Amino acid sequence: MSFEIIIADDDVDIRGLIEAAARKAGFKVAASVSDGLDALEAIRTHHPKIAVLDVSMPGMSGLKIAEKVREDSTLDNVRIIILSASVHEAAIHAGLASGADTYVPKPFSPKHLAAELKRIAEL
Amino acid sequence: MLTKIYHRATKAFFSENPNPLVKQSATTVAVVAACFSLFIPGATIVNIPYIIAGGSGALIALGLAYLVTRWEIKARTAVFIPVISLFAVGLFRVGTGGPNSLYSALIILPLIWIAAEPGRKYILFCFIFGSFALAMPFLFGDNQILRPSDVLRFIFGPAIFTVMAAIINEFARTARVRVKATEELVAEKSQLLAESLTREEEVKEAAAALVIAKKLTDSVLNAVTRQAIIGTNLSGLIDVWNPGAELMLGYTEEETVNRRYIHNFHRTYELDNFYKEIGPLIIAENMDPGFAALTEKARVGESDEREWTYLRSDNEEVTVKVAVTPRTDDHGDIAGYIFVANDVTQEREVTKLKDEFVGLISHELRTPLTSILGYLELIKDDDETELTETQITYLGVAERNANRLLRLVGDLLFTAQVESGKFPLLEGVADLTPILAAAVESAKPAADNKHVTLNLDNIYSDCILKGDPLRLAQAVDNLVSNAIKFTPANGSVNLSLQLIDGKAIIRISDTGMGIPKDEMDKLFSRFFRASTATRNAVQGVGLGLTITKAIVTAHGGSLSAESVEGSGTTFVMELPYTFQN
Repeated sequence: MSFEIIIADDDVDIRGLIEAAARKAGFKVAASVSDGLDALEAIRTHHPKIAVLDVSMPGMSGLKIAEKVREDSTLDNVRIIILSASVHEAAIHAGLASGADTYVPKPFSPKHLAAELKRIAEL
Repeated sequence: MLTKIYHRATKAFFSENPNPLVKQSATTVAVVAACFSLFIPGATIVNIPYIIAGGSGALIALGLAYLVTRWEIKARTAVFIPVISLFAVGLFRVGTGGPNSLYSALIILPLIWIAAEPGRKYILFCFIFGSFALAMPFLFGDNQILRPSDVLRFIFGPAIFTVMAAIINEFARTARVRVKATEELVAEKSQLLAESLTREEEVKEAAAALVIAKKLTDSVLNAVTRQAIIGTNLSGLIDVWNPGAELMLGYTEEETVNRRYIHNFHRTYELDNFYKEIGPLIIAENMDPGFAALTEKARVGESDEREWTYLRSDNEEVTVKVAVTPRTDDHGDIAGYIFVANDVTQEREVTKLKDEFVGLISHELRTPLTSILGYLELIKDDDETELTETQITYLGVAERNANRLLRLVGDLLFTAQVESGKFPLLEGVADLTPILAAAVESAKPAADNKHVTLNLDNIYSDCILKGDPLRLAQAVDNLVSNAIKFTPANGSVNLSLQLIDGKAIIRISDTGMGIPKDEMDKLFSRFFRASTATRNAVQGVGLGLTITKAIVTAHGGSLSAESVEGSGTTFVMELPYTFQN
């Protein structure tokens, strides 16, 4: 059985990278969106195993989405990976504090991301 | 006219010390007057030669008195003049009837002079010479018969003379003592007067200096319009309010001095929080706790500068940086405080914008780099398509350069953070031994490529200190890669660790091109590239050392370099080393 994954990032090329990483890890991409609100909607609809969220997105930031997901008890099984180009310490802490399971800085290696996806899925 | 003469005569005679001339003139004038009085019909003229002798004697005495005065001969010596004068008077008396002479009283005049001299012996002299003068008619005169009544005269006369002399002597002595005392008092008074005048002068000068100083202070305070200078007393009541304060906060001097307290301008919650932060304070009865917290550091003599929010008169908030210093009185006790406030809202805005800009740039640069590196990796790792050797090489080149770009972005971002003081350091624990080993490991390929030998000299199995292991590794990597970059083929790079005096000392030395002496002081500045580097076209943008130094400094250490152009360079990194469990 392959797990489902939701991808949210406002850059189309980066979405492509994440999709490739997902394929490598044997996941099925349930939705690949560029807007925060769309992402939240998709998560609620699909109940994916993992949601990979970019921090800065139009509509709603990845952090906010993570918070909302954690607030929703029906989404307890959804794992969250936060992606960000920010180097600020504060951003990392904020990301983890909002309920993400891990934080992946950009640029990232698709291979590494694939490994992370596999690891997180097993949590 | 007569009053004038009278006054001058009184002054001459009864002044402190009449001169011999003056003293003698009394007698001589009296004798001369007596001579003239002889022309009055019925005057007793007995023996003219004696009268002439007496008159001449008196005149001679006057002459001598004049000479003595002129030559300023001492008073003691001059006493021979009244003696001569006495003889003269005696002779005159003899010539005018001896014991019956109407001019016997003239004897008194010279005796006064003698009696007034300082010393009791002069009373004796008066007795002797007075008696002699009285006896002269019997010694020189035409056989004057000694009658019984004359004997009485010989007793009474001298006795009276002696008493008179004693009285005069005593008066003169008392007068002298009084004069001396008066002279001393006058001298003392003059001195005190002089002193008080000097004091008065000094006070005037001090007062004038004070006025000037106050004027200067006021003009300085008034000239400052871009900073608020607020002075308060010990409880925070404002007593100094400069134009800068008025501009910043919107209240005039009249509205604030002696009417408002400095802590009224603060946000209560800020003061409360600060008060809680610095812990329990001992506060005086009427002191506002917020004010006490505000001035705590200043009170103990420490410099204090921090940011606060002030409330303006129009209820707008203003972010300020405030420096508090104590004011002392002339005994050295604290008498109040001075607050100098700088409006930093603008500064804050600018810093915030800079930070946002830097964040934005780094984000914008990283995003495309993510794609570049990511897709390159996907190509390389594509299991489906076999790549040719050349393709793999080309991909490697593209990847390497993309990484170079990425590193550059990281460095730029880092230096921007260093600039603004916002330095992301992890507060953890670092072990230098693996860090050094890793640095050598990762630098080996580049070193081997250039045929540069890389050595590690570390005897310590561990060297643990407080810090950010990633950043420290970055610092060491930087120095090692620099060393390799700047060392030509067949050279060597040495990395060593020593623990001395509580410091971990890392030395990275190379046998490279070195740094010119006159460029050493610019070594750590941003974008600096040594002429040796540019001359030899060594790659780099000039940020590495700035970053390394910033990292080392943030860890409480120091970074220095020694170099000999053409020979090599050694960088010495010193870090405080504390044992960790």
